[in-house]
Amino acid sequence: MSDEHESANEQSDLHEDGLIDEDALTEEELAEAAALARALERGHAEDALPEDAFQTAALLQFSHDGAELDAARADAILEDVFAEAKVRRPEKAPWWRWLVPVSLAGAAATAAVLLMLRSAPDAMPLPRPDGALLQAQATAAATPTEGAGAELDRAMGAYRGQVLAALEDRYR
Amino acid sequence: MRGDLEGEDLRSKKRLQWEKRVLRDAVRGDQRAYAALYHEYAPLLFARVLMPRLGHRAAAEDALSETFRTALERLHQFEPRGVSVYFWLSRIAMNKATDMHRVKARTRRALTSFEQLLEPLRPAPAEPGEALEQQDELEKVRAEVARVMDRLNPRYRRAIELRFLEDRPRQDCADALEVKLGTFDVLILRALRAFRREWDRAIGEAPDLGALAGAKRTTA
Repeated sequence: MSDEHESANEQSDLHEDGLIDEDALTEEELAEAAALARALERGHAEDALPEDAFQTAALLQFSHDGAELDAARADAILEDVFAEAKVRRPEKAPWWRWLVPVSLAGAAATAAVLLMLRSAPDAMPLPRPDGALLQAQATAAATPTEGAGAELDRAMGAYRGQVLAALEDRYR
Repeated sequence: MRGDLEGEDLRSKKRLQWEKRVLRDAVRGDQRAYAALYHEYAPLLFARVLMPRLGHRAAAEDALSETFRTALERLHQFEPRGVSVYFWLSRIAMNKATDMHRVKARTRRALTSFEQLLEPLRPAPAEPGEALEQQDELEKVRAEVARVMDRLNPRYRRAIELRFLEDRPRQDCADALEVKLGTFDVLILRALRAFRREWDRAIGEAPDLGALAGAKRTTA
C-alpha cells in the first residue's frame, strides 16, 4: 500500500463517514477491490489482491465461524486418508514358509553324511584268530580253572597284538 | 475408545495413557484406533494450526488430509517421550501449510496467514494445557473484534457486519447500503483496512495483551 493510499485511508476513517466518492476512485483501488471480492468469493488469487485486507477478512471470518470443521467433511477427509495412505504392514508368513529352512537343513545334513562316507577309509578285515586262541577259549569254557583262564589271557594278548599291528599298518 | 478426555490437557497422564493405547493399536493396523486419534485432534489442528496459516477452508481441509495421511504412514516412527502426539501432528500440519504457500503461485489459491494477528492473544507455547483451549482463544478473538468494531465509523462497521458476520452475498450488502456493487467492493476494502489499523492499535493498547505481545517479540 502506498503512502498516499495510507494517508487517504487514515483520513477517511477518522474524519469521514465512510461514504465513497465514486468519481475520486483510483484504478489501483478499483482493481484491488475487485481482486479482493473475487478472492473472497472464489478463493483464487490475482496479482492485485491486497494482502492486508485479505488477511483481515480471514481473521474476521475466523472470529465468526471459529474455523469449525464440519462433521461430515471431517468423516470424508478421514476416508480419503485411509484410501490414499501407503501403510507398510508386517506381512503374515505363508504356510509353506517353514519348508524352506527344513529343506535346507535336510540338504545340508545329507551333504555332510555323503562327504563323511566318501572320505572314510576302506574297511579293513581283522586278522583271523589262530587255533591256539580258539583252543584256549574252548578249554576255558569247558573247564573254567585258573590255569585255563591264564592260558586264555595269554592267547588273547597275542591276538590283541596282531590286531593292533594290523591297524597300525592300515593307518600309518 | 476415547474415554473421557474432556478437560484433560496435553500433558495429563490420562491423555497420554489413552494416546499410548490408541497409537499401539493404530500401528498394528487398527483403523478404528486411528480414527479415534483423528477425531480427537483434527478439529483442533484445523482451527488452531491450519486455518490461521492458510485462511482458505478448502486448502486447510486438503492440508488436514495430507497431515493425517503422512502421520499414518509414519506412525511407527513416532516416539512419545512423555508429550502428546498432538505436537507431532501440529508440526506436520505446519509443514503442510508451508508447502501450500510455496506452491500458491502455481495453484493460484488465495492463501493468507493471519497467525501473526492472533499471536498476541495466545498463551505462551510452553504453558501446560496449550492448544486445548480453542474455545477460550476464540472468545478472546471475538471480544477483540467487537472492541475494534466499536471504534470504526458506522458505515464501515455495517459493511463488515453484513459481509463477514451475517455472511450476506455482495449484492445484498450493496443493496442494504444503497450503493452499486463495485462501490461496495471499494467500501469493504476500505473498511477492512480501517479495521486492521484499529486492530493493531487495540492489541498494542490492551495492557495484558500488549505486554504479552511485547515479551514474545523480544524473545523472538
